[in-house]
Amino acid sequence: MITSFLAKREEQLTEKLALHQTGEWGLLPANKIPTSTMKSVCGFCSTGCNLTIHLQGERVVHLTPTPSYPVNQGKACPKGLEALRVLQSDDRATHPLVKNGRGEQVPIGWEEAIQLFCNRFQSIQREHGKSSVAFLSSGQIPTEEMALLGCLAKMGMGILHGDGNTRQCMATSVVAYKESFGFDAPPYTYADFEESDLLVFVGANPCVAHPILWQRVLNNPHRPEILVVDPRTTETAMSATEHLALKPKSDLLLLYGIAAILLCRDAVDTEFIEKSTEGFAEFARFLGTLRLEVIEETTGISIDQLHRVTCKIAAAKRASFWWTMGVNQSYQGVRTAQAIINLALMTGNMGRPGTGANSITGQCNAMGSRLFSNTTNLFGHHDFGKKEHREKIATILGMPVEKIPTENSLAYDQILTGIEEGTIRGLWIIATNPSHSWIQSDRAKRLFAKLDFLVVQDMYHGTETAIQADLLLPAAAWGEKEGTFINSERRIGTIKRVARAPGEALADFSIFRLIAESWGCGEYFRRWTSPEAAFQLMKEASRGQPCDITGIEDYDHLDQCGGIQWPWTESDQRTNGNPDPERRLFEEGRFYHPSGKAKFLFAENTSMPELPCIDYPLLLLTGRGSVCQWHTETRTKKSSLLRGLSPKEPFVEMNPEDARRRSLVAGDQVLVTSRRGSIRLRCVVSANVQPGCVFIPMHDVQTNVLTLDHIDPYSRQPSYKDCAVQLIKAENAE
Amino acid sequence: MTSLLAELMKEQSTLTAVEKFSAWHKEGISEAGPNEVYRALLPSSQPTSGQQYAFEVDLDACSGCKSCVIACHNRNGLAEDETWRKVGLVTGNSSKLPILQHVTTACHHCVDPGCMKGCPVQAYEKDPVTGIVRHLDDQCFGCQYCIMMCPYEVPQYQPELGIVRKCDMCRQRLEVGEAPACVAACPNRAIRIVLTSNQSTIKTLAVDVSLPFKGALENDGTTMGPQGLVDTAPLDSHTSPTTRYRTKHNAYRDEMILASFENSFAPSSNHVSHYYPLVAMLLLTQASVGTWIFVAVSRLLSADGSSLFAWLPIVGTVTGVVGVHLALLHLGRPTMAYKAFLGWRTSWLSREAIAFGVFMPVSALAVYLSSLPSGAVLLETPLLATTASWIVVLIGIMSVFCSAMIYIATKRCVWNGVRTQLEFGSSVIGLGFAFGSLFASSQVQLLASSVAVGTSIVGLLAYSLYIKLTDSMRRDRLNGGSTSPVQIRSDAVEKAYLDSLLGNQFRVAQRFLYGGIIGATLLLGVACTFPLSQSPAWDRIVLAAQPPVELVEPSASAQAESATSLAHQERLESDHPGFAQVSTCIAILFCLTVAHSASRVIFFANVPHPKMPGSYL
Repeated sequence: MITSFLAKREEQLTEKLALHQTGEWGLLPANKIPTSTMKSVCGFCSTGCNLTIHLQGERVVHLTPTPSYPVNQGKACPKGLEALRVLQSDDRATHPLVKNGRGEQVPIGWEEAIQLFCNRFQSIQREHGKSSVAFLSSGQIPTEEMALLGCLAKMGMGILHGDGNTRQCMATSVVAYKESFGFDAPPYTYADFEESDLLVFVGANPCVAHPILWQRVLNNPHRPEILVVDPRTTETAMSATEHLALKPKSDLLLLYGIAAILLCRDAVDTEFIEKSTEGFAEFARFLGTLRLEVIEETTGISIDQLHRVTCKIAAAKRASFWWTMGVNQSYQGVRTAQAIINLALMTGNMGRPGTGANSITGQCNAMGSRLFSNTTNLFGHHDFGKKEHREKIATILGMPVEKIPTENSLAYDQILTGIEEGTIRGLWIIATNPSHSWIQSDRAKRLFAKLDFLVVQDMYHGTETAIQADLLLPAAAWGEKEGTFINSERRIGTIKRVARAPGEALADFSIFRLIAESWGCGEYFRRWTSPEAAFQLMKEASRGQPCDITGIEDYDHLDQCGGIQWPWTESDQRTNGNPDPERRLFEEGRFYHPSGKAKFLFAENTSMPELPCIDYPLLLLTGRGSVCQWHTETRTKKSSLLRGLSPKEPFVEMNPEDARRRSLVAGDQVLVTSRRGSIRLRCVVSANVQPGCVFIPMHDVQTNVLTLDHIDPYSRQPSYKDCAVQLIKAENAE
Repeated sequence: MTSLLAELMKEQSTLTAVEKFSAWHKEGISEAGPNEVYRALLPSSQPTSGQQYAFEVDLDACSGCKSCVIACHNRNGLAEDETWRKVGLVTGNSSKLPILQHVTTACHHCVDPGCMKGCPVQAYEKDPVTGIVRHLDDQCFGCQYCIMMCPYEVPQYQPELGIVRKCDMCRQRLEVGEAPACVAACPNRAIRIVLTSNQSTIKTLAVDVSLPFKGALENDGTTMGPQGLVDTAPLDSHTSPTTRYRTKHNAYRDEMILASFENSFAPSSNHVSHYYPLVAMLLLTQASVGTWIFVAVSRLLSADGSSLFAWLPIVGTVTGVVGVHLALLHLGRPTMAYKAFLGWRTSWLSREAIAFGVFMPVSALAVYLSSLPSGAVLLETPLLATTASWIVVLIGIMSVFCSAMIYIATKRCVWNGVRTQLEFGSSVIGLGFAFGSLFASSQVQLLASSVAVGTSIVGLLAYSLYIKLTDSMRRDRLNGGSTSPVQIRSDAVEKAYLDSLLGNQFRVAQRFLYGGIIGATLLLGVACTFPLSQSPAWDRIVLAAQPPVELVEPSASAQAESATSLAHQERLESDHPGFAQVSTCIAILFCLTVAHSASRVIFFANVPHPKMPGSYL
C-alpha cells in the first residue's frame, strides 16, 4: 500500500515524452504536433530526398521524410533529418563584415557592403582588365541563384572567369557524357536500381555516400549480382556479391580488360552497336592490343576473377553500371567514366529498365549547376562560342547580345593559377569552402591571401575561407529561401522558405539583385524578380535543348508531381498530362550527337604522377568518412547529434601489415607526411585498406594539406585519391 | 537601392506562403499510412503467455546510415544530446578477412532486466503482455544505479531533468499499430519487431554467450553464436536480453572479436566525477563502521574504556551520518530520497539505504547510552555501552556488505566479489583504526595506527599483486597462442582493465601507496622515539588483537629501548598523547585517506568499454 502510495506514474516528466495522435503524422510529442507542413528537397547530397517540414504557426518544429516522394519513399539519412538544426548556430553570419586595417572583420550595413563590393571590384577591373575579377560558386545553392549569379557576373559585371565547386565532384562525368552521348545526360532513373539483375559499382560507396539510394538497391526483387570495384573494402563492398579489390587507380585498365574479354567471348550486342553507336571498330582494335597478363599485374585482379566477372556481366539481361567519386576524382577520370559507358554500350545495356552507365552525382544541385550556372557553358547548356546560342539567350533574358561573352571561362584550377600569376586579383566565393576543400589546400589558402579583394558569401562566418574574406556577405541558407534543385536522376524539385534567416542575412538571390542594382546593370535584370520568375527564364532557355523543361508549369506543378525529371517539353505535357514519376533516357537508342549515335572513346592507361617510393612508401586515398559528415562539415558540425555520430577526431586507416611493420597499434598518434606537408592523426588499424595504402577521410581540414595538385586533362577535375605519403609514429618524430 | 534592400529584407522575413503549399499533400498523392508500409516489420499478433516483443536486427541489411538514431531522437522529442539508439562499427584487421559491420543497438528489453532489479524506487516495470521494459520517469530520483546494473548501459541520465530515461520500444506507437521510430526510419528495413519466446531466450542463454550475436533464433543457420561480437560485453545469462541479430557472416566472428576491441581505443567518457559523492559516501560510512569496530573491540578489552573513547563514538557516528547524506549529492532529485527503500525485495541499493537508515539512529543511541552516568539505567553502563557498540558494529557490517553487493550485483568483471570485498573491507579497518588512533591513548594509538596502515598496505598490495599476476597470466596465454573465443574475450576484458589501471590512474595510486609506506615508516620512528608505558590495557589489547608478527616487532624493539629513554618518557603523560604523536597520526590518517580515495576513484573508473559494439570510426 505504501508502495502504491509513493508511486508516481503519469505526471509532468512522463508527460514530456507522451505522444499524441496527429492522424496523418502518427504519434508525436506535444511540442511537435504540426499546424501546417511544407515540402522541400533536401540540401545536402544529390539523392534529392524530399523532406516534409512541420510548422507550429510560423515556427519549424519537426521534419519527416516525405513518404509519397518517388526518390526517398519516406526515408532520409541523418544529415537530412538534422537539416533544420544546423541552421541555428552561433556561427551564422548575420551582418556583412568588412576587414578593417587591423585585419579584424567588423560589421557594416548592407548598403555600404554592396557599395564596397562594387567599388573595389570595379576599380580592380579598371586597373587590370575585366577578367581580373573571377567567381567561384557552388553546387549547394538553388539553380535560380546559380543562373542569376552566372548571368549577372558574366553579362552584367563583365566577369569572364567563374567556376563552381562542382568542378571538384562532377566535371568528369559532364565531359564523359558530353563526349560520349553528345550531351551531359545521366540516362537513368532510380527505379533502375530496383530493376537490374546485375549492378556494377565503380569507385562508389552508396552505403555511406548515398544511403537512401542503397535502400533502392536492397529493394531490388531480382536478387541481383552486385559487383563492387573499389580498392577499399567499404560497406558497399561488404554487401557485394563480388568485390574487385583492385590496386588504386587501375580501374581504367580493369574496365578495358573486361571489355576485351567480352569481345573475345563475343558477348557484345552487335545490333545495338550497329544501330546506336559509332567508333566501335577502333575501340575493338584497341582492345585487341591489350594483354591480360599486364592487366592482371597492374590491377592485382587475377585473370580468373576477370573472366568470372565478365561472364556475370555477359549473362546479365539488365546490367547497370554506377560510378561516383572514385572515378570522377581521378587524373584519367573522363576516360575511366567512358570505359564504363563503353561497357554499357557494347552490351546494349542502355535505355532499358535496370540498365545504363550512370553517374551518381555529389552535391544537391550539381546537376542544376551543370545546366544553368553559366560557368562551363552558356545558360541552358548552350555554347558561348555559338552566335545563334548567344542570340537566343540574349532575347530570353532581354540582354544586349554583345553583353554575352564569346569565350569560355577558365576552370577552377586555372583561376587559382591566375591568382598565382597575378592576372586574377579579385575573387568572389559563394557558398563553398575551398581553403579546406581544394586540393593541396595550403596553396589555395595562400593564394586567397594574395588577392587584392576577396569576397565570401556564406551562411557561416567561421569557415576556413570566410575568415580570410575582406568582405563577408551573410547569406540565408537552405530552408530560408526558395528555388529548385536538380538531383542525380535529373529530377527537379523545389525548396521552400520555412524559417527566418538570422540577423540581416539575405538569400543569395537577393544579394545578387542588390549587386546588379548597385553595379549599374540593374536594367538587364528586371526580369529576375523572384526565383520563380528566374525559373521561367530557365524554362525558356531550355527550349529545344535535350534538357527541355518547358512542359513544367511552375513550382506548384513540380510539387504536385513529386518533382519532374528533365526532359519534359510542352508537347509532352500537352499529349501525356503529368509525367510518369520515373523516366529514363535513350529508350529509342538515339543519342544527342548529330549522328544520333553514342561514341566509343578510349585512351592508353597512364600511371599516377606520384608513385609511392622509398621516402614516401604509402599511397594516400581520401574519401567520405561517415554518413553524418558532409564535405567540409561547416553544416554537419553544427548539430551535436551528427557530431556525436561522427568520428571523434581525425584518423588514418591503415592495413595491419603496414601497422605491424611500423610497430603501430590502433590508437597511436602518427605523423603522415607528403611532399606538400605533414599532419598528425590517430591511427586505425583495419584490413579495409590494402597493404601499401592508407585512407584519410576528406572532412578533416588537414587532409588536403597532403594531396597532390593534379587534374584530369579533359575535365580539369582534381585527382584527390592518389598521392604518396610516409607515416611514422608521432613520438618518433623529432 | 535602399528601397530594393527594404523590399528584399521584408521578403526574407516572410515564409513561403504556407496556405499555398500546405494543402497540396491532401489532394493528389496520398501519404502512405505508417501501418501499410511497416506491417511486415511488426508482429502480426499480440504476444501470448511466455512471449514478448523484441527487436530483431538484420546485420547484413544495416549499412550504418544511423537514421534510426536521429529518427528516434526527433520523433520521440528527446533532449538535445539524448540518443536512445547507438550504432557501433566493428572492423576486422586480419588481411584474410577485411570486414566492416555496423551494429545498431537500443534497449534489449531483457527477460530479467538488470535495471529493474537494481532500481531502488521501483521506477521500472516490465509490461506483463508486451514484455517492454518501461521506465517511469516521474518515479525516478536519478540515482543512476540502473545504468550500472544494465549490462549494456542503456538507461541514460538527463542532468537537466535529474532523471534517467530510456527506450520504451515506442510502446505508445505499438499500442496503436504504428511502427517504432527506428523501425520506420530504417531505409533498409534492418530493424523489426518480432515475438520471442522467453523460454527459448533463457534456454539459449544458459551457455556463456553475449550480445549481439547469439544462436537465439531457431536453427536456420542465419544467426551467429555462441560468441558475442564485443569482448567486453557481459554474458547474456545475466539479464537475458531479447534483441536478435541475424547475419550470414558467421565465419568472421573471432576475427571481429579481436579487431573490434583493438580499434575501440577511444572509450566513451566514464564521468568519474559523477561518482565523487559516492566515493566520499563509501569512504566515510566505511570509516564510521571501522571506528565503531575499534570502539567495540577496545571496550571489550578495556576496563576503563569509557573514558578512553569518550569522543570516538561521536566521531564515528557523525562520520557515518555525514557520509550517508553525502550520497544525496549524486541523486538527480534528492528530495525524493525517502523513497529509496521501495525496491528492497530486489535492489541492494534499497537494502543499503535501509541498513544505513538503521545504522545512523542506532549509533546515535549508542553514543547517548555511553554518555549516561553510571547507574542511571538498570544495567551497568559500561556493559550496556559495550553491547550497544557491538550492535552498531553488526548493523554497520551489514550496511557495508550491502554497499559491496551494490557493485558486485552489477556483475562487472572488475567489480567481482573478492576485489570489492577486499577494497571495502580494507577501508573499514584501515580508516576506522586510523580514526581510532587519533583519539586513543598513546599506547593504543600505536597499535591502531599499525593496524590501519597494515590493513591498507595489505589491501593495496594485494590489489596490485592481483593485477600483476593477471597481467603476466594474460601475456603467457597470448604467447602460448591460445585463441579460444572465450579466452580472447576474457583477455580483452583484462586488457582493458589493466590498461586503465596501469595507466595514469595507477601511477597516481602508486604515489599514494608510497605515501602510505612513508606513513608506516614514520610510525616506526614514533614507536622508537616514544616508548610505551606498561598500561594493562595495552597488554590485553596486544594479546587479544594478535597483530601480525612484523607489526609487533617494532613495538617489541621499542619496549627494549624503553629503558634508555626513561627520562624522555617522564616528560610525557602516559595516557595523553604528545603533540608529535598526534600530528604523526594525522599524517597517517591523511595518507591513508588519500590512498583509499584514490583506490576508490579507480574502482569507479575501471569499467571496461565498450559495452556494446562500437569503435573509433
